[in-house]
Parts: sequence; C-alpha cells; structure tokens
Amino acid sequence: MIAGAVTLKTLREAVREPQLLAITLACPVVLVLAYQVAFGSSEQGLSRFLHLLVLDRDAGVELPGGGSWVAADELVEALETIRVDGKPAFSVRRVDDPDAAEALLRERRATALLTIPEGFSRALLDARNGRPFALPATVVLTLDPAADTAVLAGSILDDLVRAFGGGRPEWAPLPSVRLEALPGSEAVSDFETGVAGVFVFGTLFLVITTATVVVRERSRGTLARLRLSRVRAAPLLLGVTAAQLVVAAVQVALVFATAALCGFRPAGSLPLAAGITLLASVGAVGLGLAVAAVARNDVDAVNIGSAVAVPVAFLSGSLMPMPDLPLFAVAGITVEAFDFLPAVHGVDALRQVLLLGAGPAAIVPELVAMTALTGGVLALGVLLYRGLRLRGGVA
Amino acid sequence: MSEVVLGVEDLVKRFGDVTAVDGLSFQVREGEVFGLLGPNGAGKTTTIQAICGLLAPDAGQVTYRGQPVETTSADYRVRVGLCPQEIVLWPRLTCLEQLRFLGQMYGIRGAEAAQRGESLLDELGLADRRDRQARTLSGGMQRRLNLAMALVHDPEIVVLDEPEAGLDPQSRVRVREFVRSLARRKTVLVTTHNMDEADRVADRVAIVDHGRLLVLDTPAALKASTGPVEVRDPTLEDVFLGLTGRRLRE
Repeated sequence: MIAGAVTLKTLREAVREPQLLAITLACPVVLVLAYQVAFGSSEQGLSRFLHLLVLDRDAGVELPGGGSWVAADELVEALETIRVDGKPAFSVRRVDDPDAAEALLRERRATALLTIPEGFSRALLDARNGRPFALPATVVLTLDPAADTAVLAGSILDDLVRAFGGGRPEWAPLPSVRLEALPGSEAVSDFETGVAGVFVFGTLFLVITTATVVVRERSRGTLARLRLSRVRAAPLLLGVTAAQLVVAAVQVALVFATAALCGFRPAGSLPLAAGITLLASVGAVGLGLAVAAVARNDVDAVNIGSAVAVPVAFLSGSLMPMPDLPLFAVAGITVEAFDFLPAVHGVDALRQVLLLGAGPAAIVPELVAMTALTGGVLALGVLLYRGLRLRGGVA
Repeated sequence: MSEVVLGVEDLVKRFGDVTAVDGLSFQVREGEVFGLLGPNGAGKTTTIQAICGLLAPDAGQVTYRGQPVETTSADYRVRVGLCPQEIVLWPRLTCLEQLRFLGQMYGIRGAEAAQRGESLLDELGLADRRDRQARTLSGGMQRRLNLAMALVHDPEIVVLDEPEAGLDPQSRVRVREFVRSLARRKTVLVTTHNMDEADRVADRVAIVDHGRLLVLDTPAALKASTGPVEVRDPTLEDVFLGLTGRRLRE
C-alpha cells in the first residue's frame, strides 16, 4: 500500500510539473526526430557525408584524328557515378577558387579537394600511347586527416584514380565487393541502424529526473516528514522507482511511435524491444538514486546526473561504436571494459531484436548480463541512498 | 497530577565544537500544553528534533511514560506528530492529497486518512482549499496546512516548533485557539520565542538558553517569582529578558 501511495504521489507531482516531465519524455523523441533528419534518407548513401570538391585545371588535348579529349571530364563523371552498396559514394561539386575550396575543407563543409592538373589529358594520352610525357598525370587530393570521413574518401578516391589512370579513358567499375545484409536486415536504413541506440540513450534522461525527484524530497524537508512516519526505505524507494518506470513506459511508447512515424519498421518483436528498453530504464533509475545519494540539491542532481549519464551514453555505444577493449576471458567469453555498463548489453540486445529480428532465445547472454548489471546498479543506488540519506530515520 | 508522558533526561547534543543542548531535562504531562521558550540558538529546535528521532542525542535519553524509548523506532514515532518551523509540504499536491498521502505513510488506509484530512482542513479553516495545490496557498494557509500535517495520524504527543512564526494576526488567533483546543485531546509541546504566545497557550513554560534549562513553571508562577523586582506586573517577556539578557542574538 505504501509503495503504491508513493508511486501515485510521485506521478501526480510529475504530471503537474511539465518541465521536468518534458526532459524525460520529449528529449528522446526529439533525438529520434533529429536522427531521422540526419540519417533518414537511405538513397543518398555515403554521398550524404562525402562531399568532394573538384578543381579542374585540365585543358584537354587535341586528338590526332580530329576532335578533342578532356580526361578530367571523364574522371569527374566517374566520381559522380561510383557507387558503394548501390548508392552514390560522393556528392561532387566543381570549384574554381582554391582558397574558397580550402576554406570549405577547414570548416568541414567538404571532405576533400581533388585538384586535376592542367596537362592531365595530355599526360594520360602520352602514357597510353607509350610516349614520354612532360607532365605527370598526378591529381592532388587535399583533405583534413582529422576529419572522420577523410580516410574513407581518400581510400575510395585513391583506388578510383589509379584505375582511371590505368589506360582506360572510359570508366570501368573497380573490382568490387558485393555487400550482403544479414538475414532480416536487408532493408535496414541508416536511420534504423542507429535509432536502436537512441532508444537506450533516451532512458538515460531518467538518471537526471530520478535524482531530481528524490533530492527534492530532502531539500524541501518532506523526507524528514517521511522519516517520522512508519515508512521504511524499501517501499519508499520502490514507490519512486515504480513511478519512474511508469514515466519510462510512456517514454518508450512515445519514442517507438515517433520512430515508427519516421519509417522505422522493427524486424523483431516490439514488446520484447520495449521490455529491453524498460529494463535499461531500471538501470537508469538505479543510477539516479545513486546520484541522489550524493547530490545536495536540484542543481547538484542535474550536474552530477549529467556527469554520469553522458559518459554512460557515450561508452555504451548507443550513439557510436566503441573500440574493443578486452580485459579478461571467463569460460571462453571475453569481457571488455564497457561490458560492465548495462546499457551496452541493452544496445546490443535491442539492435539484434529490432534490426535482425532476434527472439528472446538469441539474446539470452545480453539479457542475463543486462539483468544482472541492472539489478546491481539498482541495488547500489538503493543502498547508497539508504545509507547516506535515510540512515537513522527510516529502517 | 497528570501522568508524565514525555521525559527529557540530561539530553546533550553537540555539533562539532558547539554544544546545542547541554544536559537539558524536563517532563511533559499528559494533556498539557508545554512551552519551550528560548532565544534564537537556545537549542529548542535541536531538542525537539532529538525528541522526534530526527537527531540522535550524544548523551541523555527521551522517555515515554517513564520508559526509555528508542526515538527512531516506528512504534514511538507514530505517537508523535511534529509541525516543523519551516513549511514542509509537497507543493504540487492538493491540501487533501498530501494529508491523505502522509496518513498512508503512517499506515492509515487511504479513505480513513482522507476523512481525517477533511476534518483537519475544516478545523483549520482550509476546507474550501482542499483541492488546491499547496504552492497556490497564502503563507498563512500553508502554515495551517503544515500544522494539519502533524495531526493527520492522530498522534498522542504534538510537537509544534514556532507554530505562529510568519502568521498574520487572524491566522495567529486561529492557530492559538486550535492549539488550546488540542490540549483537551493531546499532549502538546510548543517551542517559541514569542512570549505572548507562550503566555496565552502554555500551561507550563520552560525557559532555556545555551542548551540549558533556566526555569520551569506556570506562566503565572514565573511572573510572580522570577520577574524583575523593579517592574510592576511583570510580563513573561520581562521574565524572559531578565533570565536571558537583552543582548541581541544571531
């Protein structure tokens, strides 16, 4: 009865404070929408990220039999038509001003600048005809090595230009790798690939809101009132946790619905995915209780909550893949540094269910790890809060 | 003479180098309104926090009907209702919701807690505000609701920490009458530095300073025996200032 009353009271307060509720409910929805805007179009492929500038100084060459040949035009056409995974690799834009092109590179508004020299056509023609040539047919690729797309662009362009210079003025496709999707993931878009991580990321907002809700009980003195009553720590914290999970359930429904409206079609069971997300929410609530144990006021709760949630979101791989950092092996299973975060297993399990159509049997290891770690985090949160904030009053 | 309900025996509480309560002893009898008077920093609030189990004393003990009690035990705590000096409410719950909720925390069924809440709201002139969120009430109304919160579980002992602080004259009279009405049903321990309040509501008064008991008697007896000789018809305030001095505190 007490836990239920605490749940109802916490939910009433949550509904009547829309700003705090909005953090939990609206932020993940906005994230999904932003993700859809960024990655929703699956037709553009890599060309969405690889923006190539071409500074064409090639004057072309007169052919002996009449007419002319401009090798640069064919190279640019090849650049425009090269495809990776059936989608364009580059968006190509011709530029005239090298300084303006460099500025675009520095601002990361372009990936690379390909400069085709003046005698490019002549050099290629001479080389093909076995004649000595005065100018090398060297194109210059200018890029910012620190840009995350530069290495990929450089690799594709290097292969392309080498093949182009290999004596075939007409573009022939490079020896290619045919990509085959895992069963169940054939039609998965970039948006769908990434949005599963956003679901787990969204649950981490509960760290901040849980901490804030719990810290307020102390900062406004109502925790002392509760300490004077019969209430024990367990039902009190259970009630708060249950209320946060109700909010989490609404959040999951909203986020999944938003993703569906954005075109997301899960390959696997939606209830299973929702269950995994809710389990991730329990871990977030546990972290929130731990934060509440050390925070003194609302500001502390937000600051410390963010300091916990942001690294967890980053390290969980929910937004970007993390490198392998193996620590040790147990029974042939390699345990990596980030495996201790429940969110890591939540992201893995969700991706398997939503993208590959995996059933519960296929994700048993992830579910076991996630459940154990989530239980541990929740227990840690409860024990910390009970030990640091309820000691002496509530049994 | 009525039975002693609450006993404070040689209570000591220190905060670092500061001794807030220094061997304080007094007894509160059943059904009386007992005033604990003292200037700011005298140790009044620390004393009642120790009585209520919110602070663990460094020495001494609290007794209930002659038996030492573990103030943190649930059985003891439900016998005591504390109205803190600060307004301690859930701002986004309505008046009735928070009375009902707090009652449930004391193990009372929801419907019964709501019924008690309605009755208390009526007694304290808040019946027409029962469905208003606490944050929308005036300061005086919030104080009255604060007082109702101490009573929702029908405690045997009511501890009121500065109940008239910040009240307008109308609310002050209402609260004073309510506290007097409690005396017939409850044992009331009230702390204040308002001499007029103590004189009007308390059956007996203990004046404390620096955590020590200076005097303890009825207001009339204190005025008769302890008042400064140069003052004709001394008030309790004269007694208080005579004992604690006229130097400003805090």
